[in-house]
Amino acid sequence: MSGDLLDLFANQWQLVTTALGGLGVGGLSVRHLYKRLHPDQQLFVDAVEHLDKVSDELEAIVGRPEVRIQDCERIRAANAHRRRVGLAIKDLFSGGQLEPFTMHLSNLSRALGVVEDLVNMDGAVQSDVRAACQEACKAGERLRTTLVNKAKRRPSVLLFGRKKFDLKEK
Amino acid sequence: MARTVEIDIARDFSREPFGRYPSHGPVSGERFRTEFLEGPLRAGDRVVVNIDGVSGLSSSFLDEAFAGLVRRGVLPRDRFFDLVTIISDRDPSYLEDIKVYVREAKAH
Repeated sequence: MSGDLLDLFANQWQLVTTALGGLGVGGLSVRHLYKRLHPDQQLFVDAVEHLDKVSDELEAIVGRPEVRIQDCERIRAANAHRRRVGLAIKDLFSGGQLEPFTMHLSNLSRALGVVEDLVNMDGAVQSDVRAACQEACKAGERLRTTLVNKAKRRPSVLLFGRKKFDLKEK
Repeated sequence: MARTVEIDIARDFSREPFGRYPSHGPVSGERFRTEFLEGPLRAGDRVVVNIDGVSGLSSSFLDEAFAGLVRRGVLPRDRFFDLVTIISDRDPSYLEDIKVYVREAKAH
């Protein structure tokens, strides 16, 4: 769990952010802060964090034959993070609001598949691989935008967030 | 009489299937298709494939495993979902992916 992500989370809702940092707040570790979140907030943070990790893996893909094994491991890891994103979103939005996410998750999966096929292809051009990675990152960004916009409207994410994060009141 | 063969990818094949062809790794889509799907389907059976237990799913794997059945002439595209049921309750978006792959597949 990254402090940056919690910071981002707090910023999304214009909460008390100055005290939140990578090392925690007032003696509380980031993990402790995370544990104080409402379960829906934790799911949101999980989804965003794994989405970020998908992007991190894609950014690190080189696309040259001599590092193919490492690139394969990165795309494999990206698939695993994408899986975790889908599970978190499913749990967070269970109850009939999955439609916009299904499309974006599918788009991300297919974009990752393009990268995977290129990484595995003999003679693939590095610029093509990198371009496919950029497209997949964009698919991830679109999913992230939808996720944030939808989560903003969920009382279980918004209201509990203000209460739990307002550390100045304590 | 047609049987229904149930396959759980995570239990029966791999928790992290990856790659399109065997040259991409030991748990590729082609290997899954040939070892688990083609036999029952060629025998006239139905298959139910549960993908819920996996920890990661590569879309190249899904394309080769499922749409590959159409490309290889094992199943006609219009009968695919009569004979193959895919369970992905935990993340329905994978079903959408597979529908697209099958729709776009052309028999060779």
